[in-house]
Amino acid sequence: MSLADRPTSDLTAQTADEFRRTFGLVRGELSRVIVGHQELLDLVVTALFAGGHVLLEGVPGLGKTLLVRTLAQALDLRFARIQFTPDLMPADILGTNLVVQDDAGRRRFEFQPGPIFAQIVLADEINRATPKTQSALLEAMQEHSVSTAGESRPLDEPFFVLATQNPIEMEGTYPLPEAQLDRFLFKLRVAFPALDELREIAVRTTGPEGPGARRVVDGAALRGLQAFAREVPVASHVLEYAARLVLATHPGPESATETARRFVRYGASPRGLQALIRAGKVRALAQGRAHVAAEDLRALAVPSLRHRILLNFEGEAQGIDAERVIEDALRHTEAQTAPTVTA
Amino acid sequence: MNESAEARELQRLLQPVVRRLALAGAARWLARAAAAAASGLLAWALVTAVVPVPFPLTRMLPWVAAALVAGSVAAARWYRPPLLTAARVADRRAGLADRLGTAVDLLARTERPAGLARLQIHDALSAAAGLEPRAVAPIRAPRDAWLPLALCLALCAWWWLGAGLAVPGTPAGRMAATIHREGRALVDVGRRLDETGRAEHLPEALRTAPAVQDAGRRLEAPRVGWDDAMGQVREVVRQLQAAQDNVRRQIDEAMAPGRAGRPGAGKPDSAAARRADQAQRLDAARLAMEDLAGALRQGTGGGMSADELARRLRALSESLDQLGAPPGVRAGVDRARRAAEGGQRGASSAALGEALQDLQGLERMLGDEQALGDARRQVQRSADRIAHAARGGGSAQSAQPAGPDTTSQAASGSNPPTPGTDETAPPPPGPNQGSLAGRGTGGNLGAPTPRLGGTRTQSRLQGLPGPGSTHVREIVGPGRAAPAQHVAAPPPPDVAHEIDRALSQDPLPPGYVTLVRRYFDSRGGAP
Repeated sequence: MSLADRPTSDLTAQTADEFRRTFGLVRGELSRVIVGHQELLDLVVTALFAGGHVLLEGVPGLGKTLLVRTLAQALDLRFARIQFTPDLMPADILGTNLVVQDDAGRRRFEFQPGPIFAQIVLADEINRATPKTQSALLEAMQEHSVSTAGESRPLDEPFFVLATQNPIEMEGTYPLPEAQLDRFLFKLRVAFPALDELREIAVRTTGPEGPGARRVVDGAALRGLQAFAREVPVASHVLEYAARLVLATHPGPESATETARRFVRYGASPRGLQALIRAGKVRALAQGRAHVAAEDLRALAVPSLRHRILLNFEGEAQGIDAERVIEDALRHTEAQTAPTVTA
Repeated sequence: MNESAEARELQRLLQPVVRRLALAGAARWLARAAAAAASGLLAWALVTAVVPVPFPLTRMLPWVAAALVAGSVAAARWYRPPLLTAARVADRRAGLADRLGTAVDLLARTERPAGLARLQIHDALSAAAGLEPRAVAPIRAPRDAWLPLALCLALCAWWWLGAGLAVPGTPAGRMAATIHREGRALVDVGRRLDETGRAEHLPEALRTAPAVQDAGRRLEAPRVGWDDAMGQVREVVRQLQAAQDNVRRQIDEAMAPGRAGRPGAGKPDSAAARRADQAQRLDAARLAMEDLAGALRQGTGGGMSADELARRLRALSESLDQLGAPPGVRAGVDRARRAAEGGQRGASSAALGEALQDLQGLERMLGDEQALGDARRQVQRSADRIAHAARGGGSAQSAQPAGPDTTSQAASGSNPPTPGTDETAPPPPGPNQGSLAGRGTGGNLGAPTPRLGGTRTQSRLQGLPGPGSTHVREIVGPGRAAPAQHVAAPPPPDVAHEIDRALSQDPLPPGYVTLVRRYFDSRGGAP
């Protein structure tokens, strides 16, 4: 039973249908340009509708920048690209006060906004900038505002940051601190394309230039849909599932898994729980449901939590990755929260 | 959940699932409870191989089964899983992605759901309408039903193959050894009973002896449990008691009514003592009758005149009358007396012979009863030993085999058993049981232990000095001796006589003790 089968007189049902249609349109426009990466595209659009930011991790040349650019085209939003380098300064991102001379010859300070004042920001190779510069993004990503020279300036909504980083060239890079990582809704890994996808990439990019993505939704509509997604109800047992899942990634509590106890230094933060629920609501609506199910949380657990889990020395030494911790936590939580009927 | 139409509709749609889940829950409860019960019984069974505790499996099984069935019925009748649980189970099994669970939760939380919540509830109602309760909540054997079955099979296997096994060196092992020993003792008791019955023509003893021997052989078999052993021994005791009662009834019927067993003055009034006394007196009467019969058979009357014969027969008749002898015996003696008074010695002899046969029959019954009583007491003692071994873990004391019954034999001493005690209980140890000081069986506490017959050997020669040379020295200090001031010499005859006389008395006369003390006082004053 899909939401489209609901009575059309119901405004909520219409909005839900509109959400699903728009989600599909954006997703479709991305698919028209990007070859493969279906799950990646789903998750990027999910993060967009959930109002979260995405950290893309992958080797160069996999279409990360193209993805972001295509998304900006489809959304009719202002797009900015920041190439992070070691000598990039916070003012280069946020903007600075310049001395300007007016027609009367008087000089005054005037704030010159940086590229962060766009609506879709591509922070390319974010781990190449110094921590100081990386931290310039903290307030913008969390508060959607920028404070410079004692003045706070709000950013235009919707505000969406997509950062990329290269997992191979680690020399001369500055790994993102946990506080920074925690502000990303998802951390997505861009996989290398398969044979068919590579062939398709070759066909599309070496022939005549095709039309780009069409604009399918504007910023105002996107904000409305973002707000609508927050109204999706979540049952108490689903909330408990999410909370137990997050708790299971921690080494401390008794409900932790054996993997977490052995290999985890810090587990997922409360922002991880928020990310799970927010993204789960969007996924539910996109799939024609008016409620969050545990299966939404299962599907979103890895991208939502993988960058929030800090392994300990033993975990690093044994090559344990966060995905394994999360899978164990999922199994553990599934067993803990399964409904039981015992007389 | 609120009372809205959506809530009622959702509840109605989920009710079949709830009922089926309740049945499945009851089945699961039954499986787990059966597994727990079987585990407990199996553990109990295994414990019996180490500790001698009774394990009445056949008696407990009906109760356990009844409790399980009653619990299952109660669970199926009264237990209902929460609606949210049923909805979640239906969600999982029908692949409804938490639709029903969320709807139930929303209806429980809000009075009038609106917006997306209302949309979700309608969506859930549509999904619930197409729900197939049989597919969602199938009633089938619980997944862990194999566990109670396996445990029950293990229990059956133990019952057939391992019941009564005892680990050597453990209390149960010692218990098993005690049972085997008592089994051997019972075989001996049965054999002795059989021999006595054959030798003395005791029908009840002969009839009962095989049961005692069979029980003993069963106890000697391997893997006999404590409760089984106790049951068999008690059954033997019961059989012996029944046989003894039967003989006793026959004796009572044969004896003169109202006179048999009447306690006389100064006579022990316990049944066993009464029987023993009666047997003794009947034996004496039988001997007297045999004397008279022998005399009558000689034709001359053994030198007795007719009057003397008649007088002795009259005395015998009166004695039998007082004894409460069977009427047939007394009538026979009376006939013999009348015939003797009439000078018909042949008729008198014949009548006395018939009376003697009747009396011998009665004696056989008394002997039968006594043999049965002895056997019963010995078997009862075996039962006590087995029970004591179970309580004390089969200690070495309890492992003493049952010997012949010494308490049942009338002791030669003058201490009769304590009147008024239960004759079925074995008497406490006392003078009649050995050399220990009496503790209550004798009427006269502290009396000399009865001696067996024989010639007493004098431990001291009277009136004679010691033979050979005598060397006397006095001890004047530690390690220092000095020549005696008085040379040893035999006492004068009057002194020796006085010593002998004093030492033969018990206790020693005070005058003699004073004399001896004065003598040593006078010696102690010497330098």
